[in-house]
Amino acid sequence: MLYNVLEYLEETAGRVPERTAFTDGEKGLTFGELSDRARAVGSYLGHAIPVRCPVVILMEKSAECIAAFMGAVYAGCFYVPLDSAMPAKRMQLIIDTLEPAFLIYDEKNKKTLAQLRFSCKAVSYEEASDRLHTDEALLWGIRAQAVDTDLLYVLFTSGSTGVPKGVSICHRSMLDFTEHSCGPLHFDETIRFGNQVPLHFDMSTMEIYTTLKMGATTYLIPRRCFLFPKLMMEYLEKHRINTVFWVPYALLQLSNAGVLDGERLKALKYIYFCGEVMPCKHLNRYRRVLPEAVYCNLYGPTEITNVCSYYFVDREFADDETLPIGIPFRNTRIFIVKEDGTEAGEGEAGEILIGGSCLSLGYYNSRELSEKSFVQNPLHGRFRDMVYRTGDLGKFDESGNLIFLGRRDYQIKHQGYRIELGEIEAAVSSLEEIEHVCCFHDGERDYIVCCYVGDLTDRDILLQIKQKVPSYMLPDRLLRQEAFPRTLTGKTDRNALRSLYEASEGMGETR
Amino acid sequence: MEEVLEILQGIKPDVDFAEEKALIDDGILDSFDIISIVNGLNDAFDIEITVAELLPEHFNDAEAIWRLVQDMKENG
Repeated sequence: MLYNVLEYLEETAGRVPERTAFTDGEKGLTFGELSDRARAVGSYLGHAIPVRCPVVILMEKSAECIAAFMGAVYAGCFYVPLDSAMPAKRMQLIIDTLEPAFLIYDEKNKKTLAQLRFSCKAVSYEEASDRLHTDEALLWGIRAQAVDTDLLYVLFTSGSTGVPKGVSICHRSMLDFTEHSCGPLHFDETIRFGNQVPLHFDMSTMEIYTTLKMGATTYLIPRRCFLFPKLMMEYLEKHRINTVFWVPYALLQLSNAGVLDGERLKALKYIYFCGEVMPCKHLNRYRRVLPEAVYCNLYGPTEITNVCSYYFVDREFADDETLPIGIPFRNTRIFIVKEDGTEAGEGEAGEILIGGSCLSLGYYNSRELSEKSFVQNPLHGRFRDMVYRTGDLGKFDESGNLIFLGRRDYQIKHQGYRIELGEIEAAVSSLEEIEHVCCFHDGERDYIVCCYVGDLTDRDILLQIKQKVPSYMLPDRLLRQEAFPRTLTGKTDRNALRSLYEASEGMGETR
Repeated sequence: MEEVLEILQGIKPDVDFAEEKALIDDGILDSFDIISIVNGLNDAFDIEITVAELLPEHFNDAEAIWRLVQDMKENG
């Protein structure tokens, strides 16, 4: 039985040391080099700090950055990636919560480093990864005392209070996810991932650990490709990327730019998405251009390691239908609890709860928040049975597929009616001319606010969705935008949209 | 050139467009900014910048953006 993720790296580095593991297309590391660098970094850290300490990695997205991650793991510690694209204030909050024992940076992040306050030592990757440091006896000793419930990494996600929450994931959870996801998702050593999301975002751990386990290759696509669709097409074609696991927005940027070309993307076989709802209208554009590709809708919050359910698109979907989020991976339990505290039956809606080895060990240094979200199974109290409360609403349909109904916080009371904002979004999004849509509730005035990108007037939208939703669900305010602000991962930045709305209503000054 | 700078400054007031020479290479602009800039330029100069022109070399500094606008006005 596996108990440490480094076993993936060691097995693969022994089997195919010359194969490229991670690369940006020009600069990369083979599995052999990755293993060497990681053991050097691990030895350097192992001499400097005790095991089970947080190590902050402040590096560009690169193969070296992943070597630094693995180095921290070799030292018996856990890694916490920071990204210079994060606002400095957010990085400081993370460091304050974490109290890191060591910090590894690269040349490009020296400027960022100078802006941060921290009390631990810092070392450049170049210095730490010098192979002269490698001390096999030390690494062997560290491994011998390790257990699979040791932390592997902490990823910070935005918290509703404005303080980022550090989701703590142990080796056991990552191994559990990787062992049970590679089979159903068709991952083997021929996979060539084209990575989109930043390495501090949980979706990237699928690419990293699948690559390590299978001896696959991950292409860390340069950021500029996401700004310029023509470059992206050239990149995907040149490196024969066959698998993408992206947020829907990144996929839409290609189809919206009109550059998708089935002839040029013949290698692209697996198109997987997660992180936001994929509107069927957009999916259908892809399916028309790339009919042979395999499409999969995945779902899961960071708190359960990566994703916990998957749905392969196996039939036609009309533009206004909703894609299921599918069935759980093996060894993961998903169930739905209704508002009255009892388990939902088929077709009944309630909160999605998740249990299994995939569960995070909680929010770092925040016991109170952890106890709110990671709770005893509400269906019984006979033994300790922890589950994660997702705050998402869902139901199982007649074929056993999970259907995502929206965030619990997006369920609002409006004029006395209970309304799912997601339902309004789906109705607007299904209109031909609409590219993006995002709805929220202005609780103070009880307005439903609908922001959209697309070539339609407010009046046209109202007239057309009137046929799809009851009149009490019609938006009170419509806000047309040239484009939506995005978070670092490419999701719609709802808070930024809300600020735009408040500014347009002259509410900005009062806050 | 002045007009281009004014438009850019209006979209991203926190960036010194007259000085920055690596708007793309240094990651100063994101995709949201680029869409805003393209829409702003299209409206102001009555041109249509398309995907074909969406390349990093046209957006790395204000002068490159200005040259792109000139090209579009002459040939577009």
